[in-house]
Amino acid sequence: MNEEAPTSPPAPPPAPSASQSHTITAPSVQKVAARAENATKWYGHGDTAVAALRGVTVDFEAGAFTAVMGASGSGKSTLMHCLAGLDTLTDGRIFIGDTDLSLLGEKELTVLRRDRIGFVFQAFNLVPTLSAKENILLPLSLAGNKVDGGWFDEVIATVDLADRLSHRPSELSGGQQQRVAVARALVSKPELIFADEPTGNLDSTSSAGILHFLRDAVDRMGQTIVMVTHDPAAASWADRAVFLADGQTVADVADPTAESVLGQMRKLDTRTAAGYERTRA
Amino acid sequence: MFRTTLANLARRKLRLLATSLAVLLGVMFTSGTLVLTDSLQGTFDNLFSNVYANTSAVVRSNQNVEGGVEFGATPTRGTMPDSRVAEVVAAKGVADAEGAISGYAQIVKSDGKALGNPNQGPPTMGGNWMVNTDLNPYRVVQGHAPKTADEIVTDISSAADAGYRVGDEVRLLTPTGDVTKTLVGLTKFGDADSAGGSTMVQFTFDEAQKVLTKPGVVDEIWVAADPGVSQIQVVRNIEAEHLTNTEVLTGTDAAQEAKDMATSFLSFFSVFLLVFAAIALLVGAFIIANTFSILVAQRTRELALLRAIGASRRQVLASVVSEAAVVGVIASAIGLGLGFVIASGLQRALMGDSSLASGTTLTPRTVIASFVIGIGITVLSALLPARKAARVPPVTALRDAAIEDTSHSRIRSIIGAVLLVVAALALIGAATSNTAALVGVGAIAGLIGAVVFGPALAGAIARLTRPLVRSSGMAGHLGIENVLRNPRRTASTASALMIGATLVCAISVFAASAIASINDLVDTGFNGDVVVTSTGNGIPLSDIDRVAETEGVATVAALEYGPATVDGKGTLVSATDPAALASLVDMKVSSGDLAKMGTGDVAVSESYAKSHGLKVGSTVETKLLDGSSPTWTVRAIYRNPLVAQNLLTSPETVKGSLLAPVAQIAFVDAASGVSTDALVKNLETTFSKNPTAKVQTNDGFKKSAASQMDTFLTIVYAMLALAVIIAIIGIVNTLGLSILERTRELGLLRAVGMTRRQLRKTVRIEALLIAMTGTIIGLVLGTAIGAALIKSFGPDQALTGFAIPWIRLTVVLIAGVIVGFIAAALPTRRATHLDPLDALASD
Repeated sequence: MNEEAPTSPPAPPPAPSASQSHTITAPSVQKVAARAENATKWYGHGDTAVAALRGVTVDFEAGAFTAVMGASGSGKSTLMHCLAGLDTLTDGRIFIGDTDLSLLGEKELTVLRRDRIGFVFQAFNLVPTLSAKENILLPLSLAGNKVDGGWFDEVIATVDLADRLSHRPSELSGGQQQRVAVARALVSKPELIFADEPTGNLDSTSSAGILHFLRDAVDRMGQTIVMVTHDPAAASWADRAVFLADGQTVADVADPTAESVLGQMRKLDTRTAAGYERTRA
Repeated sequence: MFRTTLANLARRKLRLLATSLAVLLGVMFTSGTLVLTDSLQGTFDNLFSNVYANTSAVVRSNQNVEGGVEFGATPTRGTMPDSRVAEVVAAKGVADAEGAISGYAQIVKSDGKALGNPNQGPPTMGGNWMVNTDLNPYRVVQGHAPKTADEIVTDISSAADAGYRVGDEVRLLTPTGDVTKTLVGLTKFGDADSAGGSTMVQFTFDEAQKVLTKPGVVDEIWVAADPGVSQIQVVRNIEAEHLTNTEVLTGTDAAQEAKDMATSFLSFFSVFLLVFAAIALLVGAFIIANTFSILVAQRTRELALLRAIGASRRQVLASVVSEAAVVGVIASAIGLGLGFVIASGLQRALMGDSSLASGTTLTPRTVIASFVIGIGITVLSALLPARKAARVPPVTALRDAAIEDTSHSRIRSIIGAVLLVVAALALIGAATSNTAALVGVGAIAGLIGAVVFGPALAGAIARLTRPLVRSSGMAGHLGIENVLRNPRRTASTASALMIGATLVCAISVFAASAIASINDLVDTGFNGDVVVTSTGNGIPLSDIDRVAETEGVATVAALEYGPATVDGKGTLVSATDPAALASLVDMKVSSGDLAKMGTGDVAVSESYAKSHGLKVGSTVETKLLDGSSPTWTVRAIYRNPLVAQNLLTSPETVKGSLLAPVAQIAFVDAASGVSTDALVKNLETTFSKNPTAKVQTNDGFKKSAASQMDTFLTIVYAMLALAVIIAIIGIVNTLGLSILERTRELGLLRAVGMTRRQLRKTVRIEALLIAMTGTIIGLVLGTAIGAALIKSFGPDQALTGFAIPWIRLTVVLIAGVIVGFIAAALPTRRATHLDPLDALASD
């Protein structure tokens, strides 16, 4: 019945304990936080099989804010799920740091998610029975790790939640809930944060607030963030936008602006018009 | 609408099964009991029809103990002089008549042990071999009928069980003591190897009179009528003879009387079992109500949508109720079937393959009862949730996911608290005023109060547990918060277990106190050193005489018991030497003196004196089995009813009018200088040839009383186990539904790194808390009820002791923990096997 958190993964990949500090101290554009290598994912079997990813190879640099863009059905969510250890590839490999996810079992994947990855979901996804503070500290509590008080205060100050900590999710607005979710992702100092349409359920003011916090986390804390979105305005906050269509990377735009993203999307739209028609039907 | 209902059910087959189980088991218990008692009744009917198959009329004494004191199969009727047989034969239309004598005769097996135990199984009887083959229900199939005083026959089955063959010397325990006879023949009862498992040893008529202590008398006269003379005609003809102190009835009526006796015995048995079936059904009702309210809550949006697109309230109500009805039909049908199968198995185990056994009987009553109960309980339990469903406003469909109303109802808490206070007052009142009826009020108010106040209690218990699980981190914390999330759901799930725990604890406290009372009476009241009891029909008085002569024995007081009519009602009379008893057992005499009683005097217990208005010097009118009606004078009143419940008199006073000259218990005092161990050894030698005599020290006597109580408790616990199983199903069901409801949340927890082990712990803690809530409330309530019950009986029932069985109650608590673990197994599996991605995607 003891805390199981630090129980050793059988074949420990490069020490996850290092993750506590190294990502924030030395942001280096060259360093790769996550990498997909010929990532291929099929759903179903035989004639009914559908390809979600068709050999995607992409690096996500540490200390950068990357947006993954694409229409629904483009494979962007599948890519994120596989990168985050929530789903497994049919073929190809995923690395978080130097860890090859395909070599990990269910339990090691869980621990990896807990210790090395942070999540922000579209639908907030807070635990209703826990207070805001407890929700923020959830990954740390699950790991049985101590809270770094100074760091916690800094995160709270960043997302501006100091006076909302004892509230339950049902007592918070949508924007506040999403800030709790961002704080939860930040507080464990993960190597990598995955944000899945984080502004999808928010009005424009709240959206801007959240994106601002994410940008801040990258700039001031050296955090690495991969954000899946289909909103050009959201993507414009990123350092880089990777475009997916039909399970393949089709474009890679540095320092995207809303206009350049929109332009890229239009281009894609004509190129993959048939694909769009299919998904809309 | 009905189609939606069926579609709902079909979609959740497993849930349907689990929900059905809650009622199914209760129905199974009910139908099993009914089928079994009907089938056993059939067997008894066959048996008694065979006994009197060719007997046209039965003549017997009209001296009967009225009110029917329960003496098992032994008749409580007087005898007639054997000269009456000739008078009956002389009556018109009588072809033949024979005296019938019965008494007890227990075979000592070739290994020295007694065959059968009449206290726990079928009777071990002795009788006379009837010469007339029409009248005799037995027939010799090997060897020959007994012709001399030394010869006996017995049924094939008993001979085989005892290991005897024709020609063997057989030792028998009889009212006259230990006799040895030669087995000259084996008999069958009709086509059966024995009469329903009983042992029957038959002697010649003269020898039966001698051995069974019926000198010059017969118990009944069986009559064969002339050809063409009806049973009624021959009865009238015999009645016309005006024989003194006799009554005549037809063979058919005699058989019917015996069958009716079996019916009343079986109905005790069936009521005992049905009480437990009712408990199981009550627990099941809680589960059903709870399951349906969760289902309705989860389906709120769907129901609102139905309302929005035009379904009426009535249609929504009907849809939920008909879902319950379908569950009820399935549960009843399967329960009925399983009950039938189990009953037929039990019947075979009880009755063997005897040709007397009737087929397993499925009466329309059983079928109707099963379906009415099964469907009725399911539908009634679902009615409240269904009404709630009908009240869902259509606009809910357009809002965000509706959340079940989890608010604490202040009014509910107040009503619950008031009921609990009423219960406490009633129980305290019962304990202080010796009013057992108040215990019932307290128990019912307490159970309802606990159910109504349950959510508040469940919340309190969960909060109190918080510090305990702090060490188990987030997993434990989440488990507790999940319990607190909906205390009403927690409480109603726990209620099912609470009922079981309450009953177990109440019975345990009562039993422990009863044992304490007996220990108390033995410790303070038994001045002798050794107690002799019998595991058979009793200790023949001839053996008691040998006890008096045994070396080291100073005093003996042996108690005979028998029925007598006192004040027009059948009652139990104890007979012994009052002076000897007074010296060996502290009878707690409150007035008069036992030592000064002579022939024609009686002592009465205080409770009997109170209810009959008797004082020292009062007289009581009695009627004894021999037809005499003496008047007895009360000489003493005593408060210790352990060995003599109502009336105590001397053997001289009732000479020959109790059932048989046997003692049921004897108290022995060692002569000075003789150790108890030496006395036990000497007495064991005295009884070396009587395997049914049990020589015990006072401590040994206490122990065997306690072990008898334990046997009884074990049976009761086993019966209550079903209610506990149903309660477990309830917890599994609730947790399963809760997990379904929280799929998304569980997905999130898994995504952000909760391991399966942690998740398992969370679910387990939730299950444990539910189980503990039920167990703890049940423990408190049950202990209070048990204590009040024992206190309410007061000194009249000799239940003066009070004990709380701490060990047993601790076992109940531990059992509660185990129940939690068992109940958590399935839901944990489901929760840990959720794919985080799928779970996150669900809504």
